[in-house]
Amino acid sequence: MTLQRKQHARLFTGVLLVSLAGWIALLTRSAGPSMLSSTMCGGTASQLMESAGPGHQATNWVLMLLAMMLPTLVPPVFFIWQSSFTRVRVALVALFFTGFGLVWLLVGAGLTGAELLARSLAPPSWSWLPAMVVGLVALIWQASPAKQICLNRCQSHRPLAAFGFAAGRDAFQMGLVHGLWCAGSCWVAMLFPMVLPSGHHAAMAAVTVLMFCERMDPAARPSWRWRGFRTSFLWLERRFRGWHPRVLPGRQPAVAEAPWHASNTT
Amino acid sequence: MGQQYTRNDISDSGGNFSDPNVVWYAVGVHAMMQRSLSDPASWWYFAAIHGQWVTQTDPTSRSWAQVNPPPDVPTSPVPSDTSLWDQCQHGTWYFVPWHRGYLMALEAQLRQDIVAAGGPATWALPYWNYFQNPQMPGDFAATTLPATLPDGSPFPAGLGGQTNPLYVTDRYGPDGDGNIYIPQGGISADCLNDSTYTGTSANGGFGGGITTFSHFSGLTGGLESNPHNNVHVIVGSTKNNSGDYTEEGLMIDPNLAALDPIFYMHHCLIDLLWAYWNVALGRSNPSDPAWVNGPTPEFAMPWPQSQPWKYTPGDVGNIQVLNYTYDMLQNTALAAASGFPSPKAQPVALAARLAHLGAPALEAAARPQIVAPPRAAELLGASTSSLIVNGGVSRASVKLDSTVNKKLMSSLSLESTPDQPDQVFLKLEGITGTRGATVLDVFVNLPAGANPAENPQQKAGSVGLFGLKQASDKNGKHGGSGLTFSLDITSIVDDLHLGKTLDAGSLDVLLVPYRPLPAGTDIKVGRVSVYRVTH
Repeated sequence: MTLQRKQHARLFTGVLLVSLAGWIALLTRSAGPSMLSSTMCGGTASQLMESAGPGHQATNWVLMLLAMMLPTLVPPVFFIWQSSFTRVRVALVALFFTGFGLVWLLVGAGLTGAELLARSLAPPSWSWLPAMVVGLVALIWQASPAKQICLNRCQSHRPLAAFGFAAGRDAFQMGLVHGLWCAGSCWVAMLFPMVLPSGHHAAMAAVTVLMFCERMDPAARPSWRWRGFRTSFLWLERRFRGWHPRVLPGRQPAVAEAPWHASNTT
Repeated sequence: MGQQYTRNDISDSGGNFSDPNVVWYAVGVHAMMQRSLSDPASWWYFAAIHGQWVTQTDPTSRSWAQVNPPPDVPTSPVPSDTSLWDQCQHGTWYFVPWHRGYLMALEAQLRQDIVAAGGPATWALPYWNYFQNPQMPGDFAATTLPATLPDGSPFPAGLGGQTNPLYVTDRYGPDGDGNIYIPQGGISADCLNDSTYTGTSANGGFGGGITTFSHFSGLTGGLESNPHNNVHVIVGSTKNNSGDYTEEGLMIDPNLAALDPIFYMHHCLIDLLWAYWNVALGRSNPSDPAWVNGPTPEFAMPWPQSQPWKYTPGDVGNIQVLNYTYDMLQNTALAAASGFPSPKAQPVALAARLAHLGAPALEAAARPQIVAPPRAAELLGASTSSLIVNGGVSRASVKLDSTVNKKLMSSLSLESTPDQPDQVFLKLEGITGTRGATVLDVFVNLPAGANPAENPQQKAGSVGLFGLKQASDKNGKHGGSGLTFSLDITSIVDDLHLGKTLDAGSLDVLLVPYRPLPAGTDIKVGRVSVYRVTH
């Protein structure tokens, strides 16, 4: 494995571990006695308002971000890591997360408000109605040109200043900008699991895979089309199926591989 | 295993079609050009697989409808399924494998058409070896096909006297006058000396930077950068050095380039260089699953009488299990004549470098001859602002970090790493702009007032800005991040170290366009940086 791949793999593993910790914390909190007070575990708007204070909801939101968003942040974090002096890498990454997190905390407040509003408006016998409405909006947004613009900007970056205050400023700005486009891309997908009366965690897992995989597609012209689903399917299929060498149409499989392919020194 | 085809060098006869491989290439191209845009077996469909300006538009790019005939490029009917279009991979370690599959698919289609026209079933794509013959083969410059071939037989398929399908109006060459040649010093095969397929955060290696999960890093590999990019830019160029995008050559734009039949002759040589790097020089492709499995979704090509062929880099990485080879792989004299390194001439470079840096000769001779794999790559310095490239020479000052610079100087003094002194790479990061028809020569610490041409020892290399527009487009594949190149400046830095000028705290970097840039040029280099790589 190359040096760069080793570094990338280390970063990716670390990020996955933190994300996993976020998932465990969410699952633990929802399994506990305060189940109904969690925004991630349903309940009516009044129940939520009474039992889940802002601190509790903010904690849930942060955990949700860690669990769902972190895997998508490997590319920009790796970019900062490679672009900066060794001694300031950690600080710059922290500034990036600060900017990114600030955006998503504000967006989270808005989404939580939307969740409460949706629950308060929906009659108890129509508990699935908010989820159906939000799910429909999420599908439309997923296919929209606006979504593609946001995804494109998530893949865009400009070189960062290397020295002093400017380096920190650029990393923080990158976090803010990346957070804004990321929120633009994912806001309604994040809201969808929140308004489900049940099955939140399964929906969160599906949305996480979708958000992760849709960024594997290169930037593209904004247009109306389904995006992310096919790549998610292919990615999952490949994870389970693995890779098997194929041959040209009409030719026999190769018997042996040349040593430069089998052994790797790169 | 089936039929094994051999791709041969074009024997240029100045335009009288004496090379049968080129004759039948013209026949095949003609047949494919007769089909409609929506037909996966058409020339136009294959060009769109690389990239197209049919369903996409750009205000600073020539659409397919604006291409000056010949060829008469259709813009309809657009197929109902365009999922195979716009696949080309640039600025990534998938560059060479994607293009290998692309060539194989085109070759299969051409061969079918050639056989149908009475041609040989053994036909294979030829290649233009511009390292040996810098002038483009004359057969591609002739506007019409001759009535008879040199042996007196009529031109096959009744095409004699017709418009030459290999001729393209929008192909302007280095002087902008339609004379297509590669100027001396315009290209280099130095990429073959790179022993690693993919490098570090500092360098792209032979095959390009890792783009596992997105196109976020986009470091252009040595092969892709030079000769690939440089040849695209030099061959396509612009008419009379015009600044008007409607007078750009097809080859400088990835969404037009594959309309030009010389494109595939060029890429055939690029593919040969990869095969030569593997087979003759014994270099390894990545075994990393991220490369072997390729990106998601997979690459896919039309295939005659078959469903689209889906492939990954792992499927095409080993030429010995594919259905073709190259004459040069069987004949080392051809490689030597082209100036390619031979396995026997492989680096004694490390020993020579150690001796140059002052290691005792005897000790150096006993030291390892191979540069060890990189242990770390570290930013050494960077410019503090972006650099605008205008008509003449552009200059950037790269400020060096004193702490990292001390570590570098310690290594170059053979104190910290007596056997493996650091390598140093210059990166041009985030190059953006809308006019990419240029090659930039890059010099380091060229004395004030010195003529670049008279100081080749200060030249770090050159970069061709092929695909600059697309890479700068916020809705393009690079998300507007631009192009990023790296150049090995180790030998220059060694000399600066020995001259006691490395501790000055900065490096001067000069960018010199290979010909004057037209007015309105808006090329910007986001950051110029320098990295040290430890071994």
